[in-house]
Amino acid sequence: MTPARDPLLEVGPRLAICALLQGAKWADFATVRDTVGAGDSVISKHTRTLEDAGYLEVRKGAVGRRARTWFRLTDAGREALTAHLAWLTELGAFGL
Amino acid sequence: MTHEAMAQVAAQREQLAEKARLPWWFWVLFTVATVGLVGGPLFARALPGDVSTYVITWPSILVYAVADRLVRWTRGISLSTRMTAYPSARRPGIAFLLIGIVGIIGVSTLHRVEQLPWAVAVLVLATVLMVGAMVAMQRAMRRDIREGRVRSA
Repeated sequence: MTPARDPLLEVGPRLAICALLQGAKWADFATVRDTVGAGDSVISKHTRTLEDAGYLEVRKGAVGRRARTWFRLTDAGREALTAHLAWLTELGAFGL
Repeated sequence: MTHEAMAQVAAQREQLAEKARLPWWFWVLFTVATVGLVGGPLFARALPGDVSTYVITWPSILVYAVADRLVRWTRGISLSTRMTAYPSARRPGIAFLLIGIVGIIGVSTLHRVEQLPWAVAVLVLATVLMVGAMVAMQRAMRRDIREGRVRSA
């Protein structure tokens, strides 16, 4: 994996969202919101951007009357995150 | 900047690993289902009439499926069922499958040759080992999550 900076992951909680989803197959909206510690609108906005970039897959479902939205990191998102983390690790090695 | 970003990543992984912990009721359902699956022939024998083993094994498989679905909905996350996704969990996962297969064959064979005390002993041993392997597998999965080793789920 070649280290590569991804400016898309440097805005708001996007890196945190992707890091959370890296370890799971699917995570629901409330879990992402509570774990990342951001509000509904912030999560909605940034997950939409990540979805548009092809980094996230979004699935909507319902349990009874309750709608539930699930997120999953796509292969493209996983690759971008791994490359970005490798880049950050390299920077860290230089003490930046 | 780098330090902050990496700390953020580590915090998310840690929180996910904690969220991935299975609740106590899952372990109850899992143990009940495992006992039913491995000890199917013994329980079918105890029921009145000529009852097929499947009367016990199919509901046991259903209990596994229900427990899995319940856990997914209550935790708000689902983890991959592919053994390759969590590299450290592969060994306990294989052990779980092997113990299960040996246990089912062992109980079934001993039941057929009317060695009931031995069949019960194999059932108890296989259940304990399978639950132990599952505990080890879950622990390994949480470790992989913490250390960012999870592969494409």
